[in-house]
Amino acid sequence: VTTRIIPCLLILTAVLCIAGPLPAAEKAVENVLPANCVTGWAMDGKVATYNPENLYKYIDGEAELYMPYGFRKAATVIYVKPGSSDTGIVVNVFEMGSLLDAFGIYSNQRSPTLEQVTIGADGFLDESQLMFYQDRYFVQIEASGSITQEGPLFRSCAETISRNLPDGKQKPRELDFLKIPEAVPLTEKYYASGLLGHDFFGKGFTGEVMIGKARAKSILILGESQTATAKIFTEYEKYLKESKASPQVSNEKGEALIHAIDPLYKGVVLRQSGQYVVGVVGLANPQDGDAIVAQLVKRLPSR
Amino acid sequence: MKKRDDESTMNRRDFLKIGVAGAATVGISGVGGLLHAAEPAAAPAYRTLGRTGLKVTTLSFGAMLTPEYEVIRAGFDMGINYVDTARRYLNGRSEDIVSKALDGIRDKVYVATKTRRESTTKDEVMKDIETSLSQLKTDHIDLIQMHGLDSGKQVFNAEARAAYVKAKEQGKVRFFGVSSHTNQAEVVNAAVDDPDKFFDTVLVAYNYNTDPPLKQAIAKAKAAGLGVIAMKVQMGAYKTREEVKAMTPEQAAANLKWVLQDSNVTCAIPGMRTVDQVKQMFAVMGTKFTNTDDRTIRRYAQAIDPYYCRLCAKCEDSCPNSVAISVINRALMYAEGYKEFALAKATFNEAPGVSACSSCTDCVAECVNGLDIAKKMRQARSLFA
Repeated sequence: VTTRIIPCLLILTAVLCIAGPLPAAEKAVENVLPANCVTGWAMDGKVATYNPENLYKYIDGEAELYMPYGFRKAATVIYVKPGSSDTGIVVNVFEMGSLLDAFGIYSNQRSPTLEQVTIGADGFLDESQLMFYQDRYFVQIEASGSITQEGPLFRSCAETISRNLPDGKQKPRELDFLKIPEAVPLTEKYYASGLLGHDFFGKGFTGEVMIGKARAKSILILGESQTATAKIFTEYEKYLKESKASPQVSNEKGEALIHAIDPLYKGVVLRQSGQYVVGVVGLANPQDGDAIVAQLVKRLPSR
Repeated sequence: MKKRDDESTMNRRDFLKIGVAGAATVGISGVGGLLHAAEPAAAPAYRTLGRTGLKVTTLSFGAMLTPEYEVIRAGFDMGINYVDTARRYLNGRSEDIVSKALDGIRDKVYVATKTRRESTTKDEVMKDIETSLSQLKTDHIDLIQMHGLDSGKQVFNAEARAAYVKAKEQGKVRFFGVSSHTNQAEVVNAAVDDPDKFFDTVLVAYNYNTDPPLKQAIAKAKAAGLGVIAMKVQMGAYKTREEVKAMTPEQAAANLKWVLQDSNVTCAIPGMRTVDQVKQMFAVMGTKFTNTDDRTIRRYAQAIDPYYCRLCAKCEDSCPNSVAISVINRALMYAEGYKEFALAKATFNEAPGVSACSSCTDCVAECVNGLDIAKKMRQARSLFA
């Protein structure tokens, strides 16, 4: 037996050496929270966890916001400093369905005017909270009561938690598709459903763009397939006609292009490109968005 | 603050005329084609919000989940005249989003928001109100509510009451309310029995699954002159869970009709994220809860019932091995409902007492809601053990 085991162990050792160190085992979300998030600030009580069935017990109806983003589990705890019982640091860690989902819920909380922090893939800080996302986790750190010097405290706490999460500076690749010179930084948002308030648009991104001095909204719809995306156009055209709008629909190489005055979003231009739709809404004149659309199409992955 | 003398003196027929005409005017003069985009088949229906005297549309707008102001505006253009928000929603963006939807039509829509649970002093509550006024870009809030009370005692919070009174004296708010998600019947009963009759409205979760004590409390509230606002009317209709994906627009409409058929309820504020949802819900106003609706809602409840464990854990008292049955049921839900097998198996393995359950052949645990616990445990063992 020994003569069989030893060669096996040698081979295994060699394989491990070639493969490099194994990544640390991923922790359950409740184990991501350290006993002390910052020196002198210790956990007050136990970590509470919530699942999709009972998240509402913690954040009430707001829980519904998290469900489309594949919410799996949340862990929350408050850290307090001995002697200051009326202040605390509340930390919530949400395990979402994917990196894209984590970005989605994060992007719907941030504002481009807030201070950015380089923790996780991306983060921001304001006077009473710090949020960041990393891998498929979304982390909120909030003040409870009046905390002084909260910025350094929040950063330190966030960095500690970040170290307990899977490595990840990575951002959703789709963000690159929206990166054009006219894009307003940090305005991209991902919606897992009902983009622009229309069920038929499904999931996708919005971002702000400057066209001259006017601000408009770029969109990127993530269709499941070229056929499914073509159906999105059919639905949108139907909606526009029902709304007494008069869309101009053309077809280039089998892919639809719509210019219209949308009843909700003013001037709109949308173009299909494979399984994607790119476009601009909120325009004074639908044709004003053509140059942006052309740029966005170029940034999509080649088919 | 702009006074609305019309409400207290107008009879219902007059108000309906003005209400419908007003809604149409909003659409035409407000943002052009919006009325067409949002053109509903039905007309708005109104009820009086208790002693406030406000005539609100029975379908009102819960803005908590709506990131696009255009969707809320479409609802206003259809004729919805009441919107509920809170500063903490959408990480502080909701009130700003509502303000954009109200642009140019503030006097056509009643605005309700909430002060924060964390605010415990008069000054903090006043600061909340000031911040909300600023975010909403308005000079007054029609209904200010204490957010998420979970005990009757909190209804008598003297600091919050003092702030509310001061804000009312300054013309910054018009009426007072409470909202609750936990111990709702206790909170509602406390507001009803309050000798000062301080609060004018209660905002509670109300749907087909609501327990009798809350139904009774709501009836008492109506009789005492409080307006009753219903939230969570869809039992999770717009979530992405498998069982909810199966919910059709007809089922969602039936859920809303079921709530509105209760004349003790003034209005419902479902969260609506898309124009389609607004249209579907709007069409329910003024319609009757029919036998078909009854069948639809029962079918939905029945469809989710075999696996709809309320996770109350009451069954665990009847298990001699103290198995965490509710955790195992949750694991089943992950596997069968969410199709998350890895998560389901991990949950099953972590359930306290799971090994005792696996070796038990004579399950005697009983569910107060009629679930077949033995069958579910067998099912779990066959899937995960």
